[in-house]
Amino acid sequence: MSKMLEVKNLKVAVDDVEILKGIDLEIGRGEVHVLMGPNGAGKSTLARTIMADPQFEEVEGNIYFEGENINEFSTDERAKLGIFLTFQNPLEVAGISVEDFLRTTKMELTGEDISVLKFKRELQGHMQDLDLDQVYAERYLNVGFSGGEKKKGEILQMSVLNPDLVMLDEPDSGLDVDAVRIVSETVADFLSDKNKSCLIITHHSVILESVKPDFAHILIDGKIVKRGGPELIERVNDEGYNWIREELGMEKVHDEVLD
Amino acid sequence: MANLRSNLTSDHNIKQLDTDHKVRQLNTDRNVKRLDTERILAEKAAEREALKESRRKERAEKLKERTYVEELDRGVYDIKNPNTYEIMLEKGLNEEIVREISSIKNEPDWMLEKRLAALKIYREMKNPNWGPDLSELNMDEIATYIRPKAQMESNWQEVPDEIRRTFELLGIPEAELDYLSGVGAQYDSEVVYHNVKDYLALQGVIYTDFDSAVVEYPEIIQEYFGTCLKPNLHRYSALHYAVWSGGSYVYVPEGVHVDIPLQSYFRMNAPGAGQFEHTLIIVEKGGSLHFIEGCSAPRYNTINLHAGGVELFVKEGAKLRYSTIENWSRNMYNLNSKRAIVEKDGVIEWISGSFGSRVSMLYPASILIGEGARSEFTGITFAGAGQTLDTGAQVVHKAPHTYSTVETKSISKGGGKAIYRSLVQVDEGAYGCKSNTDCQSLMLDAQSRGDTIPTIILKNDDVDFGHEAKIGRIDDQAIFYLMSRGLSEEEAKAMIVRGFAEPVAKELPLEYAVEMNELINLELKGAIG
Amino acid sequence: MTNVKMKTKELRGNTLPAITWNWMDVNDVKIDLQNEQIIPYTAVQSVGTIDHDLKQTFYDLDHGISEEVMRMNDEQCNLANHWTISDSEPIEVRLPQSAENPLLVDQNQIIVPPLQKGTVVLYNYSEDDSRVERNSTILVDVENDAEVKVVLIQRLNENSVSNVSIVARVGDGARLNLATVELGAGNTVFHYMVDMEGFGAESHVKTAYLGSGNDHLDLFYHVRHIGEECISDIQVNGALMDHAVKKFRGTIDFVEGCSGSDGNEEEFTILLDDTVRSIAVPLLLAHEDDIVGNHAASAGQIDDEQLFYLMSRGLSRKESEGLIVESRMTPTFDQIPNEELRLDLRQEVHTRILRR
Repeated sequence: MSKMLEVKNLKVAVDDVEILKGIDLEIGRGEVHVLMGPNGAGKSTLARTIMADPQFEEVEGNIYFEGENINEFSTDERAKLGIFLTFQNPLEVAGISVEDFLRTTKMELTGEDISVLKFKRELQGHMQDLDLDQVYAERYLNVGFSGGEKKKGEILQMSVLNPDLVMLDEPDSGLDVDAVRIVSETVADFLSDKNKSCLIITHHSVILESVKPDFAHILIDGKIVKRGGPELIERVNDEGYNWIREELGMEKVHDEVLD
Repeated sequence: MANLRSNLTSDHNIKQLDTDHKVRQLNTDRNVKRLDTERILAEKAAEREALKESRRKERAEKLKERTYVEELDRGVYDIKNPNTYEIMLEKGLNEEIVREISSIKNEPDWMLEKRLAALKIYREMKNPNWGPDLSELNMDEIATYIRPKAQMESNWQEVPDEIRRTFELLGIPEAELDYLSGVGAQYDSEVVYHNVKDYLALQGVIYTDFDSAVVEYPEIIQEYFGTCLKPNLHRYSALHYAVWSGGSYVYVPEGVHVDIPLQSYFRMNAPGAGQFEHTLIIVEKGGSLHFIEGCSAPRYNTINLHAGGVELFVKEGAKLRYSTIENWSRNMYNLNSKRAIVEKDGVIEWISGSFGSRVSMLYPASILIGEGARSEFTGITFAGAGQTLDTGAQVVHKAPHTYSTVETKSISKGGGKAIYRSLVQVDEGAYGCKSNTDCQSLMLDAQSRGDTIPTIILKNDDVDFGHEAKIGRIDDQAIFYLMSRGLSEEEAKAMIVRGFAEPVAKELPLEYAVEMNELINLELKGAIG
Repeated sequence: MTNVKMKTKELRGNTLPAITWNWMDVNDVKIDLQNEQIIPYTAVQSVGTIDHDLKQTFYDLDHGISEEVMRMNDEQCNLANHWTISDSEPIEVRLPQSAENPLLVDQNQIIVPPLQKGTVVLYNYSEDDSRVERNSTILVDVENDAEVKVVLIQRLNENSVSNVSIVARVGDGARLNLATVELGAGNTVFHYMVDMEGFGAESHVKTAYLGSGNDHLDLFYHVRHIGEECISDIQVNGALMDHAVKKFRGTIDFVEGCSGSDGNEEEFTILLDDTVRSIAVPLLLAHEDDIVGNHAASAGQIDDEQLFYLMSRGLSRKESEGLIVESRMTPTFDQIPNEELRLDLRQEVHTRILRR
């Protein structure tokens, strides 16, 4: 059986400068993968390329979803296949409420009419899980949201839209302890459905304690330089990346901040 | 029509009868309400009157400290020399005068033909129906050609004493020694001094007065002259081409970087005269140049006219910075035309400071015809008592991926009018263009005027365009803040105005920035504090 | 319209308070009113009686689109409304036009006495594909400490011509909220002129428009700050597609003596097709120093990052574009009290962008 996601020799360049230099990645159904690496290594670029971000025009290699080559699929087509990406900086859309937005999107994804009332109830359930106030649904999408509200909003959208593969791009950065716990629990709960797969980009261990990743990939300078299991995550959290650089004969970087 | 209306009215009347009893009841209710309303309104009105009174007092307090001097002593700029000349053509404009200018200059026939064609256009065109009032400007009272008693020299010692002294007081010979690579100096209608550093001449850089260029480089002048700035652009562009005299020609060969600026200085001494210098600059592929233009004149009670023409050709990958500090006296009509054609990846940078003149109409234009071409305009306009300075910029994006920025500052005080007028146009097929405009106006008192009149025309969808403008006065909190650090109110205001002008000042060579700040201080003196 | 006498002289109007280079063709606009007859309008009946003295007072302030258009409005008037607002339910008037009612020449007077509050909605739309003309004048007198919301919605078909002039006067502490929605008419000429005479008077304008086909929209605003401490803003948001042409010409005029005033204008255009024309002339005229004036205009395609974000949630490109355009129009739509109408308008914007 084919993997849910297969990325083969993916190269991405911006203005002739290579950012991703041949990435291979396989994510099977029910698996949780964590992508780690120092700032600027290309982690977000990888996730955004899988989502077909039009800002990356120079893309080489192949991406398969459920065995199908999706290279030519546009962003919305990929979303309809069941791929979802949380944004680090979700955009503000004034004039469109969270509820309106999600109902429209949900109808677009499922191709079904969803009654306003039924949807409201479902949304309220998800919002309670995330400890979001009920007025949140009526506010304009991401407009005037605090950092925490924006992050939670992304997770809320994940819960409502119910994708198969979720890519979480630093879902926990800038959140306070309580919020990290709530977000972690919601994500873990979502992934308890063993048909869901996840690629998570994070520096924090709190969320990883909840979601319990199966595999870890270390991305440095546009290449996945090391793969392993949960033990690798622990070592990176304790020691940073220099020991990997050393192993690979790369130049060590000092004063690296593990943020 | 009358029938229709009375029908409507009678319909309405019937309705009215039906509801008559209701109305009666309502009226009783309303009477009660009306008494309430009157009481509330009276209260509100009283509150408002009190508020108005206190606000007016506050404002009067502020105003009490302001006074301004009608006309300032403009120091060196106001030096008047006796009006001695070798040739001064009679005032007014006709074909004979144009022919005479041409014959004095021993011009080739093609140039005379261009002059006569331009004169015809001038006669057919009217003054613009927009912008400042030009009705005071009477060409019958303007002498279009005045030759000073001097030949063109390349050594200051050869320039007649009196004229040399003027330029010395304006600091030109000193500047030449210190930080310029070439200087041209025009006195009334003719250039009296022109010199360029030898090492530039050796690299093929040409910097000469325009009259000499017509004789020495006829092919190139004939090819370029009047092609960027056309005589039919407007009435005073036509006038310029009919009676032009003096000016500069600069040629920078391919790949040559002129690292130190060249400067032309235009001085008008004669009253009731016009100055119509022509400047033509060609920067070939990959070359670069910074050209500085300075202008001044002493004040007279008669009207003077300046209608110069500037044509700039920036070739592929070339860069030209054109800086102007204009400080004409308050009897000058400054109707100058400037235009640049920029080819692929070329850059034109305009730095423009307008301080003087009675009326200015000046909108340097950048025509971006090659992909990747760029225009940057930075301007400051300071309009004092009796001045109407209508200035701004024009940019036409004709090629894809061309970029422009316009940043302007206007200051008006003592009843002066500062008007910002602009055009940004992006043509069909000019995809991926970016344009940003930021214009700010500062008003120093209530008698002054500050208008902003921009036009934006976009003819395709792939543009990234932004325009912002702000108008207002100096923030009292800012003054308070600076005063709390020990500055006097006058110093605080001057500092804020200088800070306002800083984006322009920082683009100028240090010496010119200092000159500009001095002009600002001069303008502000007595205006506030 | 049968037997319409064609006008021979070209009509022009909406002349800028400070004109500029003629060749740019932004100083005024061509008016496409062809009718010269008196034709009754039968869809609704007039309300109230026109106050002719008041009319004269307002004409002295401003002639709307132009003196000639105002004269035609007087001569051909077939609907005359006068409302004196007292705290009441919103007044909503539907003004349909069709082959039966090809001409609507309406005069409207909205008087808001001191301390009163009210809302007037005028909704003009086509019922069929026939060419219709509208020439409307709306006079609004907001007296001291009163507040009124005027909502104008225009949805004529693309063959039609809409000309609307609003002339308003705002008294001490009074407030005028104006919302205009321009979703129709091949030729739209809109004129708004307000004299804020009172101390602390306010004028707030929100416009939403969508230009498609060969639509030509001229949106003209002239806000005069006369009294002290007046506040005004103009927010114009819209999108252009196909061969639509939009001219936004807004002026904030600070008349000497309007100390402490604050005026803002903001215009934002989304360009959806290569063939559109977007023209903006945002003027600030200041004859007073103790004021704050701002204007900002921007135009461009929809931000790529915003599109990517919406598409990553599964919306198609057009759907996402529709959503973004709709979102820009929401502040204007929110001014409409009738929810059904509001939803209807949103739906229309959405479908028109999807149909593209």
